[in-house]
Amino acid sequence: MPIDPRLLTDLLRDPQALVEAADRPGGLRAHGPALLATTAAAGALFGAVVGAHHGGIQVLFAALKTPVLLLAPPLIALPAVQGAWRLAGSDAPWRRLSAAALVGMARTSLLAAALGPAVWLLFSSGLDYHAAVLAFAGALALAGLPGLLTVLRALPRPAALPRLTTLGALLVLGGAFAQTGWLLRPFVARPTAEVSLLRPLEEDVLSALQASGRSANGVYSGWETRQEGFLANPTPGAP
Amino acid sequence: MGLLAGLLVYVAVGFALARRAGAGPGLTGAAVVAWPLLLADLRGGAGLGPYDRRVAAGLQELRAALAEPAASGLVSPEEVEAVARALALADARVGLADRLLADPHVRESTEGARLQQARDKAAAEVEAVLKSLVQLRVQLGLVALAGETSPVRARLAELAARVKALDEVGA
Repeated sequence: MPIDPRLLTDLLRDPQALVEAADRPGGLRAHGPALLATTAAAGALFGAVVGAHHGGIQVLFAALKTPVLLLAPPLIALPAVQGAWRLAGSDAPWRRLSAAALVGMARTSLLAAALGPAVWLLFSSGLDYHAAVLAFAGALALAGLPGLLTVLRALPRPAALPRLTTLGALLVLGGAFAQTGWLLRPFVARPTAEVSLLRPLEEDVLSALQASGRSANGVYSGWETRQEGFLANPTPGAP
Repeated sequence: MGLLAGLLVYVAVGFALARRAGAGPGLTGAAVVAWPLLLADLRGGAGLGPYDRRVAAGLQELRAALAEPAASGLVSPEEVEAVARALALADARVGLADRLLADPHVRESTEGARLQQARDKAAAEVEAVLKSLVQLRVQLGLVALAGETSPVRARLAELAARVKALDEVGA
């Protein structure tokens, strides 16, 4: 699908106008495919840059997974955001939430692609694996924040506890984004590891980022991960 | 249900919704990937009209002006939403008429001229409401500078009348 260059300009300069256009009856039908195509194309570009740290097939794997990383969190977390607004006494219509999420995703994706050259430059300066993981997470956080704010600004002000509701929604969306990234890893593959599309399920994103931070400082501990949670295998012999 | 089965069901639902909505290849592809985000229109939404961008920009500018502290409370969000809904529906009606009139058989039929006339009337009403939105913003500026709130109420009444006219055109 061809992407109108004006759409890219609007995404960066005036995302709220795009939300308004997509929020109108028929707007999701008209603008949704182009916004999703932008998310996919720009996300794949950024993913390819990140995968280039390891090179080879990892470039393709990361390019395939990054658009999913950007798309999945809103699909998972938006109902919770809508619920939070209702609890706070305001209505956030699903159409408006969808419009805001589509624009927010496309904006995040475009900003991540724009950060691609800087990330590539960092990688080419000989950044080690753990620092590269942190650089990837940092670039995503930098690109993701304007996207999250686009979503939250498009919603009506909650009638009760507006700051708490907004902060809660930000945490839910940010948390879903970070955990999806953890489930879809590796994006930056270990230099000595055999490359795979997905790794087995273990721990969670916060513990992994703490361990990466320690390793980047030369302390190689805390990587003794264990499977846990509702998706972990039950212990043999357990009741 | 395994992950793969879940994914297949998700894709199938998106495909079925797109088929039912008569979507083209672009929208079908988008629906397969992210149908929950397109649900509001896949369940049967109106098409866009020629004023889509102008209506969106006009409403956004009005909302931005109303968000200013000096203009808060002058116009309720419900009033703005009513204008937005009426404009969207009127624009969709104009869009439908345009699509029908693009067909020479419709245009040259005996009822074609009547459809064209009705379309022009609806388009003129949309234009008038868009102009009223600009006037309302001007009055909001005057409230901020001179504290005159009565002209805003007058403009709002005029806008409400125009919105009613939009609804009547569609009735």
